[in-house]
Amino acid sequence: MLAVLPRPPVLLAAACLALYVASAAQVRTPRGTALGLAAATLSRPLLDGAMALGTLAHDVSLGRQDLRATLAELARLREENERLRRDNQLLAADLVLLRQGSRLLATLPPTGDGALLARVMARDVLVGHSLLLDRGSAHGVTVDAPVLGEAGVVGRVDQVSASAARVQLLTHPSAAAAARIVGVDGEALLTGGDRPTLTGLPPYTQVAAGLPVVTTGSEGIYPPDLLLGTTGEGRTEGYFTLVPVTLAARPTDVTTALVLASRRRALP
Amino acid sequence: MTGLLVAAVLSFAAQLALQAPGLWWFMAAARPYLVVLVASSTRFGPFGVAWFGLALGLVADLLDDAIVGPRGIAGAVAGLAVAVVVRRFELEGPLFWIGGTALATAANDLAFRVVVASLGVSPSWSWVGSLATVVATGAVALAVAAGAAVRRKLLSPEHRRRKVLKRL
Repeated sequence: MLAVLPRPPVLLAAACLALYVASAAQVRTPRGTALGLAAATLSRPLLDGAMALGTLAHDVSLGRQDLRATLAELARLREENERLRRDNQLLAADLVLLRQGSRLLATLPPTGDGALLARVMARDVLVGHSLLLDRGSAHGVTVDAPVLGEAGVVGRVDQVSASAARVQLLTHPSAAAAARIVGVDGEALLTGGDRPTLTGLPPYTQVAAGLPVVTTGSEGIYPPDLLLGTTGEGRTEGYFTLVPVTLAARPTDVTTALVLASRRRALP
Repeated sequence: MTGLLVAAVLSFAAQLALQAPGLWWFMAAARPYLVVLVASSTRFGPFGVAWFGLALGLVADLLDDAIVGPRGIAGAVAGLAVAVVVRRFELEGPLFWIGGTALATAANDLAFRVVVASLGVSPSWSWVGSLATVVATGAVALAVAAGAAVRRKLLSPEHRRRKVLKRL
């Protein structure tokens, strides 16, 4: 029994502590006993801590609920943002096309009735040397209709479907157009290929570089006086003078094209 | 033990008597029960003395009609301090009484001040009052030491032999 008794120092300290507590309970202050004040003072941090924990738990709970709502809102906003971005891209593309079409109409000479604007849906500049337009026979596009870009002639329509048309570029090896050099007498033939060249000029014809090359319309496809390109340094080979031509319209830059009415359709 | 209890009762009676208006006012500051506490340090171990001091302090609190407890704690502290010092320095004679009492009074007053200050209460006396308590209680201890010396002298074998030789 004695073995379980605390040691004398512990007993004495416990007795003193009990006396201290009893003394505190007897001390009167305007705000109650010292014991009450001490208990309130000691318990205040605990109560404050418990209150803070409760508030924290409440905040965490609210935060989790808010987090779910926020995440859902975030997902919705992301979808909306993606949709708006797509719409914005489409609108921006439309705006670019409209501006390009406006410039195209403003720079080209009057083309008469039957001309229509078309967007380039696809292009094969290096191998097929063609463009695919979003206008076809349903819109009045016919085979051999001239196609113009902002800078000049692009080519002609060689295939037409109901809603699309394929354009054979002037860079196509089999492309050709009757042409003349501004300021130089005589008509020539512009042949396509990787290096478009004017052929058919008399030998030793003096051709300066940088002269405009325009259509003559004698081949029955292109209207006259449409810009094809500019000349390079001419040279005489055999019976003709060959003049390399730098095409004015670069197919890689064309996004909107003006499709003219086919002259063959108009001809009887 | 009985002698200590009787001495304790007498000390409290003396404390009341020293507060009589006819006596010198300075002696009202004395705490004679602390001299009894010093005396108990030769009978008990340190913690026994502390317990005895705790009991004396509680009685002093009751007699002062004050808060019961602070003097008990202070008495325990004083008893422990006195018992340790007396054993450590093997105090005897007047030094035991006077030095032990001064130490007990100082420790008692200091511990009391700490306890009541921690409770948000200020003691009714200043440090001068504490000094007066030490001096007055020391004076009581001086008287006790003188009495003890006289008693030791009267009860010594040498004194008895001289007394017998005078009768012859």
